[in-house]
Amino acid sequence: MNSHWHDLIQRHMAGLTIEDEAASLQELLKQDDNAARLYLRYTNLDLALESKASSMDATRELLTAPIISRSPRWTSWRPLTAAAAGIVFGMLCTSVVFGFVGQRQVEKKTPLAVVQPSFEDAQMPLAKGFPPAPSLWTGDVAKVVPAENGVTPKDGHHMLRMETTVYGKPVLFPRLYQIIALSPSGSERREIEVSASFASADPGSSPHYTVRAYAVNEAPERLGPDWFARHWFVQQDEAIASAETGFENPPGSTNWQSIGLRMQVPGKARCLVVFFGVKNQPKSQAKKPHYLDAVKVSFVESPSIP
Amino acid sequence: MPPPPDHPPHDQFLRLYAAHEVALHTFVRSMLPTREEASEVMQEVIVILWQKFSSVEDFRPWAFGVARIAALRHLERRKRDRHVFDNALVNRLADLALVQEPLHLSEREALDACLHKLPAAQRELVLTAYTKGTRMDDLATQRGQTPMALYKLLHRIRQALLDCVQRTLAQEEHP
Repeated sequence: MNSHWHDLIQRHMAGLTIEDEAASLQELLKQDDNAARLYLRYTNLDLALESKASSMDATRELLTAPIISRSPRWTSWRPLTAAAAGIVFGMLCTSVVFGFVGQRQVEKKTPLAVVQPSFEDAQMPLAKGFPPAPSLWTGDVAKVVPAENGVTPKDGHHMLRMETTVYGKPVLFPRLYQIIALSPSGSERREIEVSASFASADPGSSPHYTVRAYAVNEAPERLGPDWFARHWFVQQDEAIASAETGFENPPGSTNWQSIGLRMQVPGKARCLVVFFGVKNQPKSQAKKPHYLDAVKVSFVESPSIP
Repeated sequence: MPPPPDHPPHDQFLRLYAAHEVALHTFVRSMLPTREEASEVMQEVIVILWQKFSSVEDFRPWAFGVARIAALRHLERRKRDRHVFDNALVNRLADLALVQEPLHLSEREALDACLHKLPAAQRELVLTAYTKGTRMDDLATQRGQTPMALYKLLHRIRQALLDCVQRTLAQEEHP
């Protein structure tokens, strides 16, 4: 393959070819299979780099965003989100695998220890910001409450209320975090499922519910604000798997929406950072709070296929 | 308020779409000149798939058929642009992309390691260039370069990544 092909293909993909060059490339791709394959390798690379950059951007947002974000970077979200309102979709990062179709009925789930998964303790402590230690809910202003505003807890008698205003100022992206320690595993990879239920007390809003998980090979005690504050490329090196999923709640719906993700986590992963967030659309800022309940994190074991 | 009933078709759709999303997007990208157009068409595709989804059976061929038609319709709207390939070539590339899908997935897996082999500055540059909302002229200005100099640097980085991916896969095949 000569360098002219590389140059012509890349310039065409960058929109830099003149008409004659585009015509010349078209003839080349029609006549030469190797050139066509090279072209497709470049389109694949193009998309893979975009996906990689997007997942790093999401990671950067997860790790560095302020607690109360008054001007979130909406552009970092996939346009799919806006177009597919009301449709659950998976935002797949590089290490996410949803390879369980057809095996659901025989797989085994082993719950991981999540502190206060259904927020039944009204005195539950909630620290601000990123988790300073494992087994602790942290994040934005939130409170354990019983049924209120027409919303009944999904599990048990309580749920977590995520405030949409604090001291009169809107919270555009209320979020909660928890670090969960992972027991060592001899297996190369393990599958983890993270799910939660969200509801909104404001039928006029159309929030975007998000679940993210981020597996790292650092020991839980080494994580904390300092760890998160490090340069994001370093974090990416240390992060060994990440996944995200979201659901755009259609206006008018105050029902519980359960969303979840699955990810393949290398056996050497020491802990999992789980994140639950609600992104309010700026034009329909929720007047009433959102609620989180029924958080579940499990190892999933699928039987080997005979 | 009682919890809503589960929606099996919703779940099925999510699982099927998630399982095929990357391959579908790659397929659409192979037919269109830019990744922005591919993302735009994918938005149409997911809406059509969701609206018409009724059965798990044959999801994959059906979804790829929908995606092909959506991409061709998009190109039809741009047919006066002389930079756009004709339908014969677009269909040929689409067919070839289906054949090459396993290779493309392997290349994506190998890309991670190759990105980390790049010097940190180059890795950061290429990922910044691919971050949504980044404008090449702004990035060039920030770096004190001309847009053409930046383009040439990115060209070399992409070619180096492709070469690395190819070497990695060859080594895996013949260790």
